[in-house]
Parts: sequence; structure tokens; C-alpha cells
Amino acid sequence: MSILNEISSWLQQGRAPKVKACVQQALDEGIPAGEILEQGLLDGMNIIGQKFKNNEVFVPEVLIAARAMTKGIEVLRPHLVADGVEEKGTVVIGTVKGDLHDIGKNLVRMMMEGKGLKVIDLGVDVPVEKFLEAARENDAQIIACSALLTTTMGEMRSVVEAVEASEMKDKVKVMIGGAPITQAFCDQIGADKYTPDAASAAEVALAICTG
Amino acid sequence: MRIAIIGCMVMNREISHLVAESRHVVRVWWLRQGLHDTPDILRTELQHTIDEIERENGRLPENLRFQAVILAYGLCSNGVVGLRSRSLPVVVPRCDDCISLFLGSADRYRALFARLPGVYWYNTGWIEQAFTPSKENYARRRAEYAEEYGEENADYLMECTNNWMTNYRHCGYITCPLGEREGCEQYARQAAEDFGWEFTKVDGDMGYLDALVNGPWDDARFLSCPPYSRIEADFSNRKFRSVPCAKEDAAPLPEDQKYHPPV
Repeated sequence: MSILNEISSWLQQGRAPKVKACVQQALDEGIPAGEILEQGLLDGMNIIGQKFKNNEVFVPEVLIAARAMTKGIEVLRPHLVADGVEEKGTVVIGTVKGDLHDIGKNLVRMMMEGKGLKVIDLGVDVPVEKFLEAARENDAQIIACSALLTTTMGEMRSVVEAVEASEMKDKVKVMIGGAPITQAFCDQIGADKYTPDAASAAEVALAICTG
Repeated sequence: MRIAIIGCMVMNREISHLVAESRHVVRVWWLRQGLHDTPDILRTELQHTIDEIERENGRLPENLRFQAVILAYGLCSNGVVGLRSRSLPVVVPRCDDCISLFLGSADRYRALFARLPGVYWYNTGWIEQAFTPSKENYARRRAEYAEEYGEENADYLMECTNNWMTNYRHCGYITCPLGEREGCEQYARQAAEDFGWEFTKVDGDMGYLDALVNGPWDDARFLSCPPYSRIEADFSNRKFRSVPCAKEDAAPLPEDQKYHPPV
């Protein structure tokens, strides 16, 4: 097995120390950092994302794979910077005001990072203004809102309305997701995109940023 | 009246009590607590049960037939969205979940939700029927993670999946109007202490559940979805509306097939 396949395989098994060691070995062999990222780390994360979408693996598998990816990227980062490998876009993400749940939001963040996007994570209980400020400061293409509770999902409507009323209206897309969210809700509040799972969210975000 | 209730086990004590004392004739079909975590499965189970009640009704002599199906469920992660019937009205309380039912009204739930930011609710039903946060339950879960994903990943997974607990700030304990079960309040107090939450005791109120079991089902608090209509979310505090559906879309589920609602 090539070292890049090995990285992808260890990543899928969530074995962070193995991934780190293999990334270092690949660098030592002279493989360009961008190639290690794309064909090793992101390849493994894509496979996990697909399996998650198909219910073949579950939240814990994705979490440990994402952790392994992060560890690998830490090793790669100085080399990526030196090689001038750029992020493919910027997303501001957070769980809406009144809602303190972050497993889903974190999964989406990790999957988006796994697509090579830069993700600004505002955490939980994020007020509308904070989403807009962060998008403005970071020149983001996307605001991604998460909610777990039917009690708090209405906050997303306020985010959509605030973006509509701002100068970022034609520049920033609002993506929404979370257990109670549906396409019908997305249509009703006029958000740009709803995705039912973390893997699709990352795919759609990448398409928005590169499309 | 003859009433068929589909109940979540989390309300077993309260509903059983109300059923025993009801002026109506009531039969309850129980589903296990926790299905809201997998809303598609909850929806399938509910639809299968509605179908079963309607099938059974067809076999009963006319004077023994049910006249309504009552769902002891709120929106429950959208688990009730898409449900429909062919002969009986389906009644559902206009609330997010069972906490409104335990508290006596959806307005009271919303007021408490605003007053107690980051609140985790405990009551007898939850403690007896559900996975609720406690030191013992988390020790068990960590052991499962260590076995499945390795010691190296176990703490990380615990941290990821339980981070919400450190965000929560309140433990709301709802008393049981039927009489407190020994150990329940203590369990909630202990969890509050273990997780650093502020403990607040709130009186339970059976008024909403009483109206659910016994009617009348006023439009302000309940949706009564007629046959050949579908329950839909309306994303307001009213939670639901009914939408007529074509005859073929209201067919019972094939018994071996999972139900997926139309988008």
C-alpha cells in the first residue's frame, strides 16, 4: 500500500498517532504537502463522509476520523503554507442563540475543513449580530447555522432577515441544518440551502465557494 | 367516547392514571421512550400504530369502535410530521415535546425555557425510562467507547459528545402531581451537583395531559387532523397544521416497509 493510501486508511480508522507518523513519513519521502492533503487526508475524510451519509458509520467514527485528520494537518500546515496551498473558501458557523448543542455543528465544521475550507467556528448560543460581524470580518461566503431544538430553530429566520437587510445580501449565502430542520422550513424562511447531514453540508459549501 | 392513545413510555404513569379515571373508554398503545432521537423511526412506528388501530377498528363491532386517535407526542424532532389516517381523526397537542405536557402548557414551557437558559429537564418518567445524564451513566458510556474505539479515543469522544453538558446551566426538576417517587428528586439534585448546574424545582401540572386524554381538544392547544389529511409543521407556536392529501398518499404503510414522508 502506498503511504498516501495508508494515511487515508488509518484516518478512516480514527488512529490519530498513526496518521501523524505516516504524514511525517510521506513528507520525508518528498511527497508534496498538497498531495498528502488531497490524496491522503481529504481522501480518507471523503470516504468517511460518504459512509456516514449512507449510515455505514456513525457519529463516533466521524469524530475520531476528523480528529486524526486535524492531527495530520497540524504536521502538514507549515509545509502547506510554504508551498502556498490556499483555502478554497471561508465559512462562518455556529449554533443559534438559545441553543447550546454542538455535536452536529462540530461535525459539519470538521467535514468542511475536510473539504479544504476555512471555517470560523463561533461556538454555541450565537446571536444574529455575531454571525454577521464574523462574516464581514472574515470576508466569508457562507454563514452556516445549526439548531437542535424546535424551540430555537426560529432564530434562523432572524439570521436570514439580517443578511437580507445588510450589505452582504448578494455575497453571503445562509446554510441551515440540524435535527429539526427540513427543506420546508428552509423554503419558508428563505434560507439559501438546507442539507440533511454533515457530509452534504460540506459538499454544498464547497460548491458555493468554488462555483 | 372510545379513544385510542399512542403514548410514549415517558408519560406512562401520568397517562395510565388519567386513563383509569377517564369518563371515556381508553386503550393505550405504548412506544418506548427515546424514539425522538431517530425521528424517521419514530414516524414509522407511529404510522404503523395508527394503521394498526384503524385495521383493528374495522374488525370491531360498531359500538366498540374507537372514535379518535390521540398522540401523546409533541413535535418530538418532527417525528409526528407526515402522519395520516383514513378513518379516524388524529389529535396532537400543539407543543414541542413532552416537557410542555408535564408542565401543563406550552406557554409555561416557553416562559421557563427563557427564564432558565440551558436547562436539562428531569422528572420521574425521564429518570425511569430514559438515558439521563448522571455520573454512573457516563462511566458506562466511556467504557463502551474505550472498548469500541480504543482507550486513546475514549476521552476525546466523551469530550465531543458531552460538551453540551458544560454549556448547560440549569437542572429543572418537574415534580409528579401523582406523588413523588422515592429517589427521583435526589437523582436530579445529584446530577445538578455533579455537572455544576443550578437546581430548580418546578411543579408538575397534569392539566394539559388531562385535556389530551379526556378532551375537549380546543384548537388553541390541539390539532385535530381529519382523515385523508397529513400533519405538517407550521413553524409557529401553533406547531402544526393539517393538509389534505390524495387518497393514494394516505394508504397504510406496507408492514415491512419504512415510511418516508413526502418532502
